[in-house]
Amino acid sequence: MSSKSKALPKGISGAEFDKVVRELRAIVGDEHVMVDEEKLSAYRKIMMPVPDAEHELSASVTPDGVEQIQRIMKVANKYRVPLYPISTGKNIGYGSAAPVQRGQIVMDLRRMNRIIEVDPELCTALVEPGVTYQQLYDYLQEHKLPLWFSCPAPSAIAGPVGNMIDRGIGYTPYGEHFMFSCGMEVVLANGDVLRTGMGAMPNSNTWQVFKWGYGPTLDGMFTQSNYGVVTKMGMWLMPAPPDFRPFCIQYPDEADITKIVEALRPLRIAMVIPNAVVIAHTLWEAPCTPVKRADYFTGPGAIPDEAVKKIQADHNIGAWNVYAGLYGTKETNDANWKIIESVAAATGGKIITQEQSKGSQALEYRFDLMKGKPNLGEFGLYNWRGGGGSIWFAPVSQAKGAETLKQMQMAKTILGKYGFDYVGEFVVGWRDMHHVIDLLYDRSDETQMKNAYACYDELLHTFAKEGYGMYRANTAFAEKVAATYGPVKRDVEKRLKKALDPNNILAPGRCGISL
Amino acid sequence: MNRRGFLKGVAGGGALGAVPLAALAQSDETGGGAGAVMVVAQAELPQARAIASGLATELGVRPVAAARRELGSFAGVTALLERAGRGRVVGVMDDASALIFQQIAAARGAGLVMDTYRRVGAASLVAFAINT
Repeated sequence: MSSKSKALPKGISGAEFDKVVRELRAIVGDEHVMVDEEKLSAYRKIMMPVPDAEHELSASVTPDGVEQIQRIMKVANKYRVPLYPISTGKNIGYGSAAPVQRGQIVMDLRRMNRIIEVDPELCTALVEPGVTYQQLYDYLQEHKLPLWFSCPAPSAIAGPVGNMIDRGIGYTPYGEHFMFSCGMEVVLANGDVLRTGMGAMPNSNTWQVFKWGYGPTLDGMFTQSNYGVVTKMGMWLMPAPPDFRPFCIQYPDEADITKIVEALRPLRIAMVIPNAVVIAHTLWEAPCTPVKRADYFTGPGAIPDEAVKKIQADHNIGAWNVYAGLYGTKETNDANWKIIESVAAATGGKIITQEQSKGSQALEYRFDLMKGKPNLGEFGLYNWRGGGGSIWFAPVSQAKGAETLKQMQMAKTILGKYGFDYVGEFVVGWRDMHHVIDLLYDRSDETQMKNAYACYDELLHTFAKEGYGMYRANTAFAEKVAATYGPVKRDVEKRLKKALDPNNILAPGRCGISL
Repeated sequence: MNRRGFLKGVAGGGALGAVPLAALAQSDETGGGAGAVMVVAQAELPQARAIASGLATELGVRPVAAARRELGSFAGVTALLERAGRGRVVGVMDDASALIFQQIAAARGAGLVMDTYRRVGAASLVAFAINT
């Protein structure tokens, strides 16, 4: 009986929930509404330092299209039962597939997995939320289309719609995913279907080529929010360049981050280096090499700097490892390569080319991501500490050396205080850096769970005091992160929520937005 | 910790509460499996191979040793799941491989029956069972 569900939605009785389940089953079919514990287990698995029960779902429903979603919204409104939409559910480290609040019904959009269109002349694609990057990659290969997309590290199993909606990033010149999306279709809480940008106009053929439309551009509202369910997304694909030249530049000291950033920033802004450059610390590289932490340190607390230096020496890993690429013709890349060589020489960096990188797992998976080839190389991070605990702490900094050094030192100090390692990297946008830190801990160890929560909390508030905001956050800290952005923004978000979803049925609590 | 102790721990520490060891081999009542059980161990980890070997012996099957590269690739895990068909897969591997395996299996509609983390010396191992 579904009323025996472990976690009923707030304010819903067991009897009412049974009715909800029956009505949902009438829409999508029995097999696409799940209440059994075993079937829900995949949605339940989290890596955050909070009890599983806080993000327990009551059921899952898997619609096959817009029409079914509209009917589901009617049921949700009727009973005021909250839905938590997911696309591929691979927001690993940010909450995975579990709902933001206990008792929500996960609306899994994986059956909506059509690649609706790829236009090889305009280099655009229109996809549904259940499409994975692997699926899109296979499609492009099968159709022999020389087009690349940008994907995040979980690539093969994650999807472009979900990643763009959370404003995730990748490593090609199209690495700022929301920027390179174009046009969405959104089912609103009242069942209306909105197409953003030029898609609002009937018979438009510019939906995937012109982002803005007329009047206010609404796309951003549906990212990192709970104002609607995105059911289609346009994305821009990059023509495969005639010559792709990835490289890594290694630097020996942590303090080198200042000169690295000062040297790279003008190259990024001028687009000499066009892709989202990664500057990875030793401890991000090491697990992906792979290096076993236990071979270097088994004591309590954070791994000491001496052990980190030994890892660098033993495995030819820099204190910082800069991943970038040239994308162009042989002639343009030859010219720009001279700039790269002179910058590396002037800053004390050691260049590793693609030819020189053969056999290196860490370099191979990075170089593949830089050309949009899905792989799962970065999952090696989860072997660093073991125990299934991981939350991403992801503040933004200016692309200035002094700022990145300051943030790195702040983070390392706080992490060390709680016994955790600085497993971090900077991803260079154009004028910004996404500073991404994987707070890795053993989730089966109660002390580490408590410390991980306290550590993230201290990181969040310490950084906020310095004016450093998060670019993205896990669901356990959604409310706290939202609070750091001030009351005016939150009030506007709440008013928008009231207008678009007065019954608060869409993911209440996501990014701190609720009624 | 010896192998039998670990097996007992794996069986008893599942997400769904105490699960008898024999239950690792049973298909569910809805016919979620044809009774087939596949035991997969990460080839490079002697502890994983030993545990899987013991499990497989008790379940009357031959264990499958899968290399880290295979377990770390979408194609590799998909091939293993295709080979498993409809039934149960019991895996013993490192954290990264287990996460990848479970995520790919979940995307195909598999249910996670149990999932447990154990330290074996300095190594962290995950033992899990899924219904494919």
